[in-house]
Amino acid sequence: MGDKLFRDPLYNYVNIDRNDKWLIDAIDCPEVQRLRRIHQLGVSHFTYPGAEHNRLAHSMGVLYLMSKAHFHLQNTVKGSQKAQVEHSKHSLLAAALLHDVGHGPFSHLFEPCMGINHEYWSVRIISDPNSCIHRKLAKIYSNLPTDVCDLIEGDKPSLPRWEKSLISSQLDMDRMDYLRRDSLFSGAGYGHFDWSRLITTMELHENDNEGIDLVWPEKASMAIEEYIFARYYMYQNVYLHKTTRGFEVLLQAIWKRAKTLIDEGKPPELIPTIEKLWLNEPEDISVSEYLAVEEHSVLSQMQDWTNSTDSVLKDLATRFLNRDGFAMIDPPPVSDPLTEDRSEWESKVADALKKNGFENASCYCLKDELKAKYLSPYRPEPEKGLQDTTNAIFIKSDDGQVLEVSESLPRLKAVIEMGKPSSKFRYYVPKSIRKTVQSIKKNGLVEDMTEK
Amino acid sequence: MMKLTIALLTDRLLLAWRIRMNKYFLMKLIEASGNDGFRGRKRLQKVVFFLKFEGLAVNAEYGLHRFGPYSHDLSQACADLKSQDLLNEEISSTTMGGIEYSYLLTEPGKEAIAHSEAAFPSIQKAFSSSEKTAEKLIKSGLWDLELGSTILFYYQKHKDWEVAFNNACEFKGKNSNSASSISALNFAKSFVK
Repeated sequence: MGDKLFRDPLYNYVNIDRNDKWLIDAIDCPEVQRLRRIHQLGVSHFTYPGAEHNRLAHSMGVLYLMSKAHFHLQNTVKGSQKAQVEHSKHSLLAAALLHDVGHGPFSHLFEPCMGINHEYWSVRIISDPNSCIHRKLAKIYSNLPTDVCDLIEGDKPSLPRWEKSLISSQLDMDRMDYLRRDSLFSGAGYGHFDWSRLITTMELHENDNEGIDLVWPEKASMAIEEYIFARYYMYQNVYLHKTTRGFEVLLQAIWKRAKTLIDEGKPPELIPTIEKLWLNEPEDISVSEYLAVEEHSVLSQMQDWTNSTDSVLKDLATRFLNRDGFAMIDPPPVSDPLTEDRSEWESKVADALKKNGFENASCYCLKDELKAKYLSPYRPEPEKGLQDTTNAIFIKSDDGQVLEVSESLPRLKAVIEMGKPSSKFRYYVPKSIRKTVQSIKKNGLVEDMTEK
Repeated sequence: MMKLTIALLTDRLLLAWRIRMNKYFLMKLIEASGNDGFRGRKRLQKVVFFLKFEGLAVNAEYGLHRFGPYSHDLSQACADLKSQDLLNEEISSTTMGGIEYSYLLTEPGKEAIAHSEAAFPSIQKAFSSSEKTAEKLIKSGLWDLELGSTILFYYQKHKDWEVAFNNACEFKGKNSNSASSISALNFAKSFVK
């Protein structure tokens, strides 16, 4: 058998080595195939119509990058590191393919709606002896499922740091794929960087007795800088897009409303798969019951709710399915920087909502927090003793010293020191009362809050 | 039904406070450390971890880093407060040749605390229940904090002290039979009733 080839818009071909047929078997597993039916970018396709790509394509992209990285390390490391790299091949490739296998509908954005933790479910799925993926991995060697879970979870004491960094760090194979993939499919052309340079220059550095870290040589600094800014631009333009975030908070508001009704003893109709997942503790849900909940289940549930006897649930579900989103409002500055309190303004907004027929302010004035870490390109942990690859990127200078990357890039250092933004908040209200709410912000008081 | 409604209302209020209270709690911790300021970002990370474990409503997500539990949210909150001139950050050399960051409240920072407490009296009450623990933690040995928090991190996952202890010692490359390791274990256990 020759190499198995998959056409891919980013890499042209994703090839699976003929000696790694087990990866084809893994890709064919139903748990992995399910990822075809999960949007990589949640509801970003509401903003960028082309952003319809799925988690399976992304997972295969990460697999491709990991295989390139592993091949490079295998051919460049020396001494005892060589055996370690060789030994890690199966677990790294499997973890790359399966790192997102536990994702639920609409990826990250839906997790707070149902209390899903995708990492927890990835581990459950891979560990379950009844799952296809478990059986395929265990055929390679019996402990492979456990090794893969350890890589995905990342907190096992004996897990080599460099392996963990390849899967999850400030500069890992996951980010390297999704930034470029999301840029391509959204059409927002910000996610470009020299990924090939980053993969073909990475090194392993032995940190005295502390373990082995993933580092880059000084000559890769500019490629790292380019990656950092690409990541920043993608966050500002795609991941934090105000329209997308508006639909995300609307989706969460729908499920919050449904939960409120359940808690008040007035439960809406629930389809069985949703009911099972939502109203039970994770330990009481089987892997197959979890996997049964997909995006079509969620959409079907919300379709049912467009006929709900609860007018708020009915209205919100209808708005979401018809792409009738809320208007974004920038709130006034806070009066108290410590509590970030805006309760006085929020109370006036609630009054305005009521006067315009929206009784339930918590469902019609939606708040979204943009965390500070996403609002600047790069904010490494300042104290050297607390730095590692989860909060900084490291380069190895020509004299063998390992430095946090901004130490050798004055431009990047200047950006870090220039502005350190705080978290930002956005509010979303029905379009019909946008002007009224904006007036509250400007004038403080509005006598007639009825929108004409 | 009434119990559910009260529970729901309490949950909502708690959630609202949780989002707001990060910075206030940080400032109160620094105030509690006295005139010398709060010494060490590592210490700050571990103190907040223990307080969060005990129930302080802090919106800080922790992951395991090579020096134990670490929260990027907390690190960012410190940077925010510094950029708002509510905190001073001082850098000094340690006896081991490393660098240590220390934090002191500025005058605007002290005023901000007073303003928050005047506007929201319940904030002060929420912190006061953790105040004694905070003072104890601030004075505790750094190794107890570092290894102790790592043990507690594993305990949260495995709910087994032996597994947590062995994992933490292996993670930190320390002998589980040493007096300092046992001390850290007892320290961690003191937070679990």
